[in-house]
Amino acid sequence: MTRMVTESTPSPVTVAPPVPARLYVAGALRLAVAAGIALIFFLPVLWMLSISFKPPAEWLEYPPTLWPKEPLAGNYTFLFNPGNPEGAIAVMTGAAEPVVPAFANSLVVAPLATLLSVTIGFLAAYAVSRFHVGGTFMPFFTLTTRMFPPVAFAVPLLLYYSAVIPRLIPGLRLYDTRLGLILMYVAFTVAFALWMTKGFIDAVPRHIEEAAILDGASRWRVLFTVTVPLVRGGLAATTLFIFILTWTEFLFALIFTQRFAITVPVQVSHYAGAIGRFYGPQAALGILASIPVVVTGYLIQRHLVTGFTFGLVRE
Amino acid sequence: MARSGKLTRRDFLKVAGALGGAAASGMLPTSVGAPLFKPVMAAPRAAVPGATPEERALNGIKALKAARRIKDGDTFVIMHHSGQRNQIVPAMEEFNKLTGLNFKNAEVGLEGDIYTKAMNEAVVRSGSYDGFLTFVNWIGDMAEAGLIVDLTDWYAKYDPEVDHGADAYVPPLDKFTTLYKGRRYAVGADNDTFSMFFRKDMFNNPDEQKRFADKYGKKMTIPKTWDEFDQLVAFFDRPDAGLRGTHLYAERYFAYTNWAARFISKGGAYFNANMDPMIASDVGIEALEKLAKVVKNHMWPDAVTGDWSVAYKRFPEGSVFSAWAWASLGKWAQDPKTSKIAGKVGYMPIPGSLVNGVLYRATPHVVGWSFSASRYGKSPEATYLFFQWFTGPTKGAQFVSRIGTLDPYRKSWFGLPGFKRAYGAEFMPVLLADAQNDFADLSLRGANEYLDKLNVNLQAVFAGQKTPEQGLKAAAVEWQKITNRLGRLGQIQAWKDERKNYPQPIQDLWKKKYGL
Amino acid sequence: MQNAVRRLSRWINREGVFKLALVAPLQVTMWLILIVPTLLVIYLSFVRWEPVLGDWTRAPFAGLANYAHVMVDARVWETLGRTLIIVFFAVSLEFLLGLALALFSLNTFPGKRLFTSIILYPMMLPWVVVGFTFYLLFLDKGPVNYILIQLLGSGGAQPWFKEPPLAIGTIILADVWQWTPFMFLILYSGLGALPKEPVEAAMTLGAARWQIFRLVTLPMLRPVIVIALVIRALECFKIFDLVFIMTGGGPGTSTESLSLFIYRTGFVYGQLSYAAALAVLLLIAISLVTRIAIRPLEYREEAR
Repeated sequence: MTRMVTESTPSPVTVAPPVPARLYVAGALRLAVAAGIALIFFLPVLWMLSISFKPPAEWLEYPPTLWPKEPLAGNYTFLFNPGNPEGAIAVMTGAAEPVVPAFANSLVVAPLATLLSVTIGFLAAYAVSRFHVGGTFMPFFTLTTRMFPPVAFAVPLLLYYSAVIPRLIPGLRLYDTRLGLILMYVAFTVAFALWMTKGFIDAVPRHIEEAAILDGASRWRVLFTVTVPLVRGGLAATTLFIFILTWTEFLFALIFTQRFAITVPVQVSHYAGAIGRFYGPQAALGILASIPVVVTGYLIQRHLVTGFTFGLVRE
Repeated sequence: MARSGKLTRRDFLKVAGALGGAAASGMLPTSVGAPLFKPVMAAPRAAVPGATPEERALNGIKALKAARRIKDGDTFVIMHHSGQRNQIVPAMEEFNKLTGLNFKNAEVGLEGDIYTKAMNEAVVRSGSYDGFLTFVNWIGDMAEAGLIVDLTDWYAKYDPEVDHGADAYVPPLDKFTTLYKGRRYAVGADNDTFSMFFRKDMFNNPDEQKRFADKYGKKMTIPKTWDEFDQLVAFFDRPDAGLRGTHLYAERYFAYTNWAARFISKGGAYFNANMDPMIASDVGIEALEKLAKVVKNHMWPDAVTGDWSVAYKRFPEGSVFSAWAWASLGKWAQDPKTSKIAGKVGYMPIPGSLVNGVLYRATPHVVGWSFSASRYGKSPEATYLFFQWFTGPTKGAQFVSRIGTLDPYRKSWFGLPGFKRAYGAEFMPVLLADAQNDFADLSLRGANEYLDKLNVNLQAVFAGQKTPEQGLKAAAVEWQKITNRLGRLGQIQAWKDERKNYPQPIQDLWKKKYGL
Repeated sequence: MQNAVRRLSRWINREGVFKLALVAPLQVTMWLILIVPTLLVIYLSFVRWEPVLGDWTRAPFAGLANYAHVMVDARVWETLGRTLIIVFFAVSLEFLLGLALALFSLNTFPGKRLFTSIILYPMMLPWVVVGFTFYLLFLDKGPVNYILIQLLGSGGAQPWFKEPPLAIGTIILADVWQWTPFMFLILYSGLGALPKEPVEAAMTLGAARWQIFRLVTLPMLRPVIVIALVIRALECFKIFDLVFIMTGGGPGTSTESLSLFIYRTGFVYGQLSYAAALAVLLLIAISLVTRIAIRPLEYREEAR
């Protein structure tokens, strides 16, 4: 039985037809369907792109046009130029606040929080999955952190950061600092990391690890050299997802930052003016803001697709 | 402010804690007002030298520095909305150069978030903010939460010339942008009087005038009453030609504005002397029925579902005959860069209502910004002096004329050529006249909640989900719940003081009708 | 010295120490950061307090009054029901579409990396941006209505944000657009991590493709599916940004989600005690439901 195998195919669970001619048609059909799906997914993004190149007069224009009548790069340059806006954007009120500080903050907070969260969660997930540490209660208890609507936590957490901690550890400032944000994000996403990676660890049969232990490897070594490569796909997916969560988080970032630790989503909300939202710069910033995540996603794709094949796939 | 400040704060917190407990049980809301609302520092009674408010403010800073209460390089953080960045940041830079202090701004993008962060500061008391630029009607909540200080003594000491002199604020702005429970808690920095704009080219067109005369048997004139306005709007409503009669706010956050204008001008009042809501009275229901008809028949649908900036699209593109909004809509519609109808914009005084043959006008002053000083800041007095300097007759005009959401509020500015150019020379006298009939948003404690519950029901009415009567009655029920929860006695007192901020003719009418 | 190192490494590898070291970071993090605020929320729910009423440390005890108010408030129940409807439709659609996409992506085709990148893109955008993009798309005079008018004539345009069912539909659509990639991601990596032997065994036994999928693949995928559904449902239940930006909860309160309601009650109306009580009640309710939902997961584990 022939199978379609290329370097980017995980173990297929459907069987491809053996006849070459049908293969060709099926391939072309697949491509067409893929293109169609991609287009539908991309339409709102197209609209965002379109807005980001339009002057204010065209943002709510009817009949709407995909291609700007007077395309301009001002919405993008506006983000990086401090001082008064120029040209067609000048009609917008409010001077520009440069976005680079916000990007700098986000680029520190999100990756660090993600790495910490995934590591802590993965380790705990291993313990829960293999040794049932904490029984059924502990892992479930961590999930409760995701059940509270964050708004309910906001004021108590603020009290904790601003009133309680400074009293316990004098000199430790958490409000409006990157450290404060990182700690908070880790605490709130670690439940995700635990449960997502646990799912993938559960899917790996134990006998592989037990075989390695019988061969004399220490527990830690088994964990890092046997298990991790096998759940690489799950770790990658979890990392990407938690990165997205921390990168795009708005409510806590708004409440816990003031001037120094402002992150990108809060910055996006600043582009408001007297005449409604500055849709153009917000769209432009949205596109720019997604670039680090896209890069991360692209890098991670390699791990996603090769995943777990036991080395049995003929290449 | 070194040691003495900290000591006072701790003492204050003890007192506040004890009184707060009593206040929280709703038992003594009025008597809590007296000791809790005294300024933290006792101000000496000597007047400060200086011919203008700006000079006196600068001299005041010098005196504070000399008394070692503040020093060069001290950082002060003022929270404000992104829309004022262009007006505040240059002001801070100039002030810093003049005084050696370090005023910094902390921007917030969504207006509602300013309230959230301010109230969080009231709870947390971190001292991370020294001052706020907030909606005028949040002053009540912020004062009751103990967040902002009473400025009355400093008004007396430094005299910002708010309610007297050649440069006074347009009355009654001087009252409702600064007062709460009869004490000064804020320094007004904006004028958000609504104005009614219309297409004067269509209005002055002889063919249209003839058609109107034929249809209604009278001359087409600038409407004086809301009924006349509704008629004019119906006349110019031509959906097939892509023109609707008007754009009045009917959306989630400003649905109350037009209803309130009609209701108040008919002599309605939000509450009676006992804080029972009067919104569901016959006057209120009638006003809403007429307005709902206009919304349904003569407006684009997105007036109900869009956000407030839709007006700034509809009117300048020429798809509505009239629209009302803040003065900035006039600026927007007059500018050829942003408007297709530049040169065709007319300004009509906000219509009123006839009560017993007398015409009463009531102009809504919707939101609007004013400064307040945080109790937990470094030096509320120095913060206040920045406010006085920023809103002074000269400096104020300089900064308000920059592009931003703050509009002119001192009477003497309305004749300045710079403003006339920006807004339109014909507009300024109309704006001034409208401003003098201003009434502010509900500003009591709990204002946000009262207005939100009203808006929710009004928007439901405009979307066709409830009848006017159902909507207003539902809102009234909610309002009673709020009043009971917050303590009726305190609200009665606050409402009594707030009524004094309304235009005098309306107050007189209330006295006659309701004995208010 | 060598002895000490060896003893140390043996100690580290003891099962007890190993287990402790694995979970210690998690426990430390959660307890340090979350325990005090959680206690504060519970405290707030048992007192009667709003910022405009005074100091929170001296707020009067209110017993179960806040809880009682929550239970009898019609707006709470309406909002809860509405949010559950949104979650049900959004998560179901996301799951079905995500699974379809994951299966589709198993086989290769030219440009697959690009395709995957495009599919994953929506969830990488800040939520506010997704919210206002869809708001602009579905404006009365926006692109969607424009296209509908071209296709169906002037009657094609819908008042998307004025009619509650349509408004909820647009919110569901925005959520599905944004989070189907998440389902796709999890299911795709889950499928890729499944062992090959059972599938090959079934194929040699002559089973049809559809049978293999239903009887072999899906059961093996169950842990991943359950996790994906639970996580996504929990998140969707807290939907806030999309509703806030697109409709503000309007018209009236007809599209208000539970999170938006708590936000409004706590931050706009200032009723922090009421919001705390509601949050605690929600926590209890959601915990019970989730407990039941993840039972197949636990059962599965024991069967191993």
